[in-house]
Amino acid sequence: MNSLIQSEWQRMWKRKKTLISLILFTAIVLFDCLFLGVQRFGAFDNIHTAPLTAQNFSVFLLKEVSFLLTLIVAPLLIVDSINGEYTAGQLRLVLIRPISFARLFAAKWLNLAFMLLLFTAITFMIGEFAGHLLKPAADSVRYLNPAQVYDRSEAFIYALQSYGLFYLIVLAELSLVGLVSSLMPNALVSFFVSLGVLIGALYISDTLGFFLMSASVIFQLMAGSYAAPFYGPVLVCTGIGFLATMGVWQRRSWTR
Amino acid sequence: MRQEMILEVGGVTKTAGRRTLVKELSFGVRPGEVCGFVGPNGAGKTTLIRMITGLIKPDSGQIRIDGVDVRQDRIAALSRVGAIVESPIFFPYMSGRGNLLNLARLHGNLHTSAQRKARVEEVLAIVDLSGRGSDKVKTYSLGMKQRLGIAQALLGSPKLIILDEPANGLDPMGIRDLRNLILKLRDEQGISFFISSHLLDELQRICSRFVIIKEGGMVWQGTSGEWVDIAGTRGLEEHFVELMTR
Repeated sequence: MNSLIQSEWQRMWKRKKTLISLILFTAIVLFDCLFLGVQRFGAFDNIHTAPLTAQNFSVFLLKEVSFLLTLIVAPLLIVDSINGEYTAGQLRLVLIRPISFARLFAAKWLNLAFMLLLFTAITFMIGEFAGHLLKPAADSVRYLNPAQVYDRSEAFIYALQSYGLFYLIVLAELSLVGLVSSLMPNALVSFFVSLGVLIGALYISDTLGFFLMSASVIFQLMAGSYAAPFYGPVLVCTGIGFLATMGVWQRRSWTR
Repeated sequence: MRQEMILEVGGVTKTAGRRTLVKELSFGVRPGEVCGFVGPNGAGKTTLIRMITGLIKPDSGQIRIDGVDVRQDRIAALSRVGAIVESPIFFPYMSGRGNLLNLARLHGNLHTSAQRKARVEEVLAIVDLSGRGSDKVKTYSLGMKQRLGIAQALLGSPKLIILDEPANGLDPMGIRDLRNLILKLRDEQGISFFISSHLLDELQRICSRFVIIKEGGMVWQGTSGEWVDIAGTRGLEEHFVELMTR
């Protein structure tokens, strides 16, 4: 399994698309920091705001960046790895080796999970750094729930927890887009059907709204005001998507 | 005593919807043998090769490689095989050497980095690509890609190599190089080959056995000498056309 993961990791980073995505993403995050840097308030929603400080900057940055990561960068990279390599015919060289198809998918999933963790961590680190560079420090901050006051270290933990919840959503998305990419005939169709599923999930059930409204859901979750279940649906999407895709990979006919 | 086969195909059938792609095919390839697999376009050659390499599953029948059933233990069976299925499509963003090093990780017999590097250099030398190994694959000619395809097939030290239309698009020099390489590997390493191709004259120069199919079913199989005898003065091409139009 280690060899499979290393082989996938090497190919993933040799693809220009991966490196270009990382560079462009980082540039956009930096641009968002500049944009937030000139704002005085950060908005939780249309009604609730809070003064931007060094302590809450990274959380509001996540709100700005979440759409880019969940609706463009992540689907692009997942589709490229799971569908693009196969439909281009390149994966055939891997598939004819003495390896398990299910393990090959698991290796891809783990690599993508790690790469998306990297994207999330980069956002967090830039947010923390830019917040302290561009905004004054505050002794205490409030978030969506005005009754809860956080000192500096608590605010840092709040931000870490928010990014952790976001990463859980990204993992659920990875499993779902992975399944879609395994079923679709080409990368372009995979990308747009994945977008349709992520956006359409909101209309299927409020419970699945976290794919499209990730930042808003996280704000509410952290404030204790999120009415729908969160951890159950996220874990079910992650687990079922992963296992279903493993099943598809194990049983499918590889005709490309 | 029955001679062990390196490849045994027994009553293999594959359908897609109402269409039968491969129909009750049975044949064998002996160790050290080069077997030509011939049939017109759409006859089911690539479908059978995909089944041998475990990419698709037969509806019925059995495929054994070196005695191991592909369906029951695909991983063990494939550890004895190297293959080019259709044209070899490499990772274009990597060098030839990079492609091989990446794929070498997937062979259980190459545990360490030193083993993988040594094996990659060995196979690059066999296919005469050592000098161009560091160049990106996208700069390779078709002939070089085919040679690199054989190099990747050799990585796991296989007993059987399966080549699907390996001479497609090659110029006469490329075809000659490929032929010499196949014969060298057979003679020096005892590797068996199962080669699908339309180039009958070329196959005749390297194959000791032929399997001919049409519309997924067996039309004829036997040794090269037997086919030459049957074809007589008409030649293989004419006889092949006759078989296909019967």
